[in-house]
Amino acid sequence: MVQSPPRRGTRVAGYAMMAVGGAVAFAIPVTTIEASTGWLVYLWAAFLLIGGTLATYGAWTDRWIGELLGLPLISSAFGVYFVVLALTRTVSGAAAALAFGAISLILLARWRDVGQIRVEATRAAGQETP
Amino acid sequence: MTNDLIIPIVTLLLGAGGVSFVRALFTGFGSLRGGARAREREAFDDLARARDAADERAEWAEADRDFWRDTAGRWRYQLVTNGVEPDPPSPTPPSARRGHTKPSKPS
Repeated sequence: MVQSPPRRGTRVAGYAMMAVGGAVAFAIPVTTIEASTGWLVYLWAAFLLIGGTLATYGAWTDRWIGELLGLPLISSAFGVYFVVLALTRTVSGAAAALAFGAISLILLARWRDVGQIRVEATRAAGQETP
Repeated sequence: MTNDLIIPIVTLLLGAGGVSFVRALFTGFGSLRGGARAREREAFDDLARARDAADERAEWAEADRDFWRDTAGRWRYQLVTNGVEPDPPSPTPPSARRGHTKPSKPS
């Protein structure tokens, strides 16, 4: 069986950046989101921080549980950005909203893929090892 | 107007994320407790091994099928050359019955 080298570095970097972004946003709340959502900005930042940390752990250690837990939090955090920017009702806001919405959907798709890995790993555990 | 909309939508979004997180917590750790591989690489390797095993089983099944087909042909030839009529005299293969029945798996 051919073993391909692990290609997790880009995911580790991306998730770590999201976690750091969440940590900074928790300490210094993003003004646009704070102005729109009030105290929910801290929940949003916590989602980014916790989700990013869990996903970084998962990608770093090649354990699917990290991304399975972290991705819904990160995806919904980016969804919040989408909503806040979309409701600014400006062209630049709509453009940025589309970009953040796309990231949210891609993260959601990755989450579904990781969920499939969990399902297959569970099925394999129920069968005898060939 | 927008602020009136933002709070419920954001609450809904974050709520959906939180619910998905809790669900993933239960299903994920449930799978791990059930013996599922923790690492993605190991899970992929299991799938690859299962595919290799299925391919090998199929190869052996095809080899067995060909062996019995050849054996049946030889036996039929021996019957005919010794004046015995095989039963059925003209067997109909599944492909010739296509549209009437589904191919039956060899037992």
